[in-house]
Amino acid sequence: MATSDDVDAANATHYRRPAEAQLPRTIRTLRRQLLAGFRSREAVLQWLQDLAVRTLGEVPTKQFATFASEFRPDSDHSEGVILAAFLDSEARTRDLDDDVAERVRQQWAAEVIAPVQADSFRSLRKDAGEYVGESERDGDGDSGHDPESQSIAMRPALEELHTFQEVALHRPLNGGLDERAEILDWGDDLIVATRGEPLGDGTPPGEFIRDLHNDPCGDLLLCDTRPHWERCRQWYLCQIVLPAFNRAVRDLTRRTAEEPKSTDSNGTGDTPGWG
Amino acid sequence: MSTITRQQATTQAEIRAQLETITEPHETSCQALGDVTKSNHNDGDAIHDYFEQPPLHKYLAQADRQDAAVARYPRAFVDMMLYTDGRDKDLIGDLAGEVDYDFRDPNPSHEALERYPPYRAKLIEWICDDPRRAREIRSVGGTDMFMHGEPGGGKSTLALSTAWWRMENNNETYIWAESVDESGTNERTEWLSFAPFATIAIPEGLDTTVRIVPKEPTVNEFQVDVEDIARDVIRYESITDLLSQLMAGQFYVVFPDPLHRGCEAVSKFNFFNYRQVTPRGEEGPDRPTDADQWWFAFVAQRISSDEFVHPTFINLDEAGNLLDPDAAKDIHQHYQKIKWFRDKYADARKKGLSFGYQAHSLSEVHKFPRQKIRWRVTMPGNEPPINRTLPGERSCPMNTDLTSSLDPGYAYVWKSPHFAEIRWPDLKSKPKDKPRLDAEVSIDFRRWQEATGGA
Repeated sequence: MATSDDVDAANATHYRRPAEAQLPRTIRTLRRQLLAGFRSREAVLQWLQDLAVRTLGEVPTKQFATFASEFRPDSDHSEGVILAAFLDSEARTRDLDDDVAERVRQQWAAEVIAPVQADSFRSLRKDAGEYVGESERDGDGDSGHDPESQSIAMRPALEELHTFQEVALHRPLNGGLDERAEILDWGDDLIVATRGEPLGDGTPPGEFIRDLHNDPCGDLLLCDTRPHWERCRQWYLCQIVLPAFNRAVRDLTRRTAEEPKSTDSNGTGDTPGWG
Repeated sequence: MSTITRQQATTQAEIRAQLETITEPHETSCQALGDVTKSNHNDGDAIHDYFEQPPLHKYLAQADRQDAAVARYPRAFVDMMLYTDGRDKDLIGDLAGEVDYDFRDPNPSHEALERYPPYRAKLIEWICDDPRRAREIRSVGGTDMFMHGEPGGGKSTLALSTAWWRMENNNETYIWAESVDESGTNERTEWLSFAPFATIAIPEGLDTTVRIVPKEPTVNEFQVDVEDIARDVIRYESITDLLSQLMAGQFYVVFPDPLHRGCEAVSKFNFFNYRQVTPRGEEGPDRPTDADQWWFAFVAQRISSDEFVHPTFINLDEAGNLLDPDAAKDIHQHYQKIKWFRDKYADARKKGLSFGYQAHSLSEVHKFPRQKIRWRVTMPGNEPPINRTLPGERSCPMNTDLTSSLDPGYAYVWKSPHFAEIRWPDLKSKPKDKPRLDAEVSIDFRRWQEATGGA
């Protein structure tokens, strides 16, 4: 998806604090991609993963689980309205005017992306530019400092995590896994991509893989290529896996940045219940 | 078992069986063995398992994942719940950002935490995992918690959860202060779900029996020994004697002594027993001092003597009786005792003494202690004192009434500038496989009326 925005991102390396300069551009890119619409449901999921990592995990985790309900077919076997609006007219199965779809996308950008911009910016403000200078220490130009190869807030670790997550998502999304045995193998990808954070239903990834492997429907869910199983898989990934990806990003950014969250925002989550 | 849980017991034998099941003692902890120097676990480490709950640190980790206020604002709740001394606080400062908390790993990630019992270590690790959180742990020594809410709003269940959290994370000695009415009866026994861990402390020589009154009207009431409703019973002759018998990390249900034995020796105030009562018109008291006021002497001795120095929490149910806003400056010196209590609050904190208070409304407690109480909990159905100046230049950080129409099981804990919604489990219906007792439990002190100057 090389666009002129990627060129923008690369240009950010000319700034004193490249990470800060880059972030608004990255978010603008995300928004433009959304406003343009997606050619497939898979592309929507990949974009959501992109959103998690490029906003440095500032999108509320429950947003992903909420979006998952869009993947559930209604009684006419159509996707939810918001998902339909995200898709191109050729890709959607629901009857929706293009201009309505456009307004829905725009509204979603306003509701979800806009509020997290400031938080993302704050979360890197403290140590933006942290790794610049590494190359001077080890005196080797090609390890460490190489802003031009970084596209996520100038954070090599985030870039790495992004790759892991792309891989973990790509395998089940593109035709599914080959057989049940491959679930265990996919589990390895999942561990690095989630950094061991619990999945959407609260299970740690290790147990999750074990349960999925032992589940009589586990292979249908992850390997079957019939369209209804593919759709089920998309819902499942959005509901269970994307929240963990988002947590992994948070985990990573918090550990590297340790910048306090802005405490002036009033939005707190639900107080969990007890057993 | 299942038939007992589903249907109301209709025979005495069934009720006896229920009672035996719910009071079945936890016997493997060092408190149960009566020797806290043994290497066995503490009661506090076993309570969450008994009640089928996660330990507090795991709950907070989940709250953090959901970005709940209770995890985001540690000053509102965690700071109050975790007892810290100066050394603990220094360690928290040193470890801030240096640990790697993982709720799945039962062992702490830093060796400096290994000197703590396991759940305390994990809670401190959770705090240190985020430097911002670590900075918010500010209190040193005793804390407090004043719950105000209507009867039936869950105050005593929250108080029981508090007992669990504090014993689990502080190995605190928890004292559930009980009271007895004029006829010598205590019908509350709200603590009964803690029976497997509880020690009842009763004043010597008051001839105690326990009456079990079945809910089923065709079954006659019957008596059991006080030993049958708790793990242990201790009897004390004086306040000093009681303090010498207390154990670290034990849950006590303490009944005050209506005879006030040893009170005047440890307190500068007047305490009269029934023998000192003089006829009306003559100089001297015309009734004995309320048994409740014994607690002032107990607190005085706990602060000033070194008999028992382990962190201690005293839960004052119906705090409005002891800390009565209408306390009189009479011969019993109730007013002076309350004033003294306020003046000694800082000493109590330094000596590791924490207090829980429960009352129907904030104004049911005298303004003197309210000047010093730091944490308040507004229960569902009650209104927080928004925009009002509270005693001691305190104020309520909430600017909207979040509690009046709150569901049961939720409450707001607050201490300016922060507040957080909290929840707690219904410990009274746990563990699931244990029956609920289809009877009321009353404890009778047969010589109480005599001791309180009654007929």
